[in-house]
Amino acid sequence: MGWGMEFALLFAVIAVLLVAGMWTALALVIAGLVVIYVHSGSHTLEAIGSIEWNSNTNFTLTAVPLFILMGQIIMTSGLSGDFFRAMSHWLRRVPGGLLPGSIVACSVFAATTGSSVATAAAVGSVAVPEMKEKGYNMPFAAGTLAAGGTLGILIPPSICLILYSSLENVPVTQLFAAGLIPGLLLAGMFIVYILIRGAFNSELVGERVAPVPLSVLLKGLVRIVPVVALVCFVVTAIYAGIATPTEAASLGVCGALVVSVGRLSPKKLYAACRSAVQTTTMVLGILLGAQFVSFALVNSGANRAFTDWIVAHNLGKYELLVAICVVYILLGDFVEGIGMMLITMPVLFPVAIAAGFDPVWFGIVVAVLIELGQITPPVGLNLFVIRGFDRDVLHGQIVRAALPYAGLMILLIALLAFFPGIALWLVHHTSQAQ
Amino acid sequence: MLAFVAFIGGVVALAVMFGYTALGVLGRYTGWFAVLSSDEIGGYALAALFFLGLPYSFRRNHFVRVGVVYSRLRPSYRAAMDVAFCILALAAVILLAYYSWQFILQSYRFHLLSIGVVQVHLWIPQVAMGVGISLFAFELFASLLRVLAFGEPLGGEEGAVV
Repeated sequence: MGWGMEFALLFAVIAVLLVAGMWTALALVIAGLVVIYVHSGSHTLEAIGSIEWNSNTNFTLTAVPLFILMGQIIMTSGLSGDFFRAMSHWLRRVPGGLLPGSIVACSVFAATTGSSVATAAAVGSVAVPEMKEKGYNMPFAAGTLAAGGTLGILIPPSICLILYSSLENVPVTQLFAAGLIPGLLLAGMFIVYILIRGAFNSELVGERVAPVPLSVLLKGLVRIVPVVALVCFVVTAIYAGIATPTEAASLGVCGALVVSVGRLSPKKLYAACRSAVQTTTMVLGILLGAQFVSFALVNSGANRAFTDWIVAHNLGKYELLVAICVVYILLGDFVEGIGMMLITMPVLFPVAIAAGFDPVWFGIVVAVLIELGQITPPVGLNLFVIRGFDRDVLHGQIVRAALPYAGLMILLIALLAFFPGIALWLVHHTSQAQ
Repeated sequence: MLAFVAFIGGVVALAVMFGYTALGVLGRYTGWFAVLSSDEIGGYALAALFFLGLPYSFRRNHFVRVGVVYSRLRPSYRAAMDVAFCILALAAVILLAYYSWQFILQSYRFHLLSIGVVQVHLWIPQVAMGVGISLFAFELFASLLRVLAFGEPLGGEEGAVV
């Protein structure tokens, strides 16, 4: 069988199984095994043991469960609610202050959890009732929260970027450095958009928060500062080369335990550990499946042949980027983000590198595309999460409200394409510092 | 029960990983003690966490699936699909389990050691992989029987990974 047929077989098996509803991780494993067997018979199957072992003992990946644990500890201790309330008090003079407040809260919590759905859930559970009470336009608010949740995919420490790093051997510290400015820029773009909409349409933003006494404001600061300090500490430790991402994550866990002292019962701590193990298992399961797909592609020579084929077609750099964006936006309608990235990377990464894209820069673009998939229907998971907090809002309304945010994400990709320095500037400076 | 015990093993592996890396960085900066091969031990703990966590996470429906078609089907059709999925998955996972034990046996026979400062017999951490995958196969088999016996789909929804 030629490479084209094997390539088609692989993706046909994946597509059929995924669409039918097979568990993503297992669909990838099965497709990989089928193509390995078809190409080189049963003797190559002996590589299974080493694929399994090597894909899961990767030191870079040890940061994944630790960062998830750090986020879970902060979530289960209920800090996110207090944080949001304090934030809204401080931003009370800004018209529609709860909305920019929720974007700031999302950015910070996204940084601690690295998870977009957990962030949307944590901030949304507090923000939705509060905004409803203050007479905010709920579809607009829900769309904002769904979009805000996705910021964690880009703002370091991001689980998505760690997986990209382990799959493509790109240093995770560089990816973390590259994600910071685009992540903050995107958060800033969200806030500017909210302020502009609010200025033209005061119905969107509800009534102002009543004046708050100074003592409450200061008390709120006590809630805000430790969490922000924890995030800054973890990220700085990585950027400055003081600790590897894994070490920084374990220090982050220590910090999270300190920050949430007095709020964390043994039961809650176990719950945090349990969900860290379950989430890690899910993520690594899909990663393992992707390793089988990757092995099948390399073993059959299909990914090399495909790269050569694309290169031979002399596609321009920007044309290729647009094509990749279209592929992701279409795929994002069916497959959730991490799965989508892990399935496509074995094919798209060599093509992108051959086209002359910087591997670090490309990782950031992919992360933005995954954020985009998270708020576009029908699989836009953040949309479902937020709707869970306010059943009066129709799904279609949230989708429409989230669309401008999706537009801002595409704008960010365009900015990254024309000014790669947005992502790469900090990478050069941190690597010099190290 | 076994799946849950294995899962607790996964939680312990998480604690070990946390403790070892935290001590490693603490030791390096204080100079009071040195933790050797913390990266390697972390890697082994990660493998244990993952493989031992597999069976229980599967039972608790933490495996994501695409719901475009599946979630729109009637329960009886979903149950039929789950039977097919379980059989397919079981075949694949038995293959994985078989080759995992082959791989572990090889490490054992040739006395393979880890490359780092602390030389560990590789088969020791690898056993967690064999046990985890084998229990996962059992769990799939049990799920298959459950669907066949009660005619109810396994459920599980479109989830988010992160």
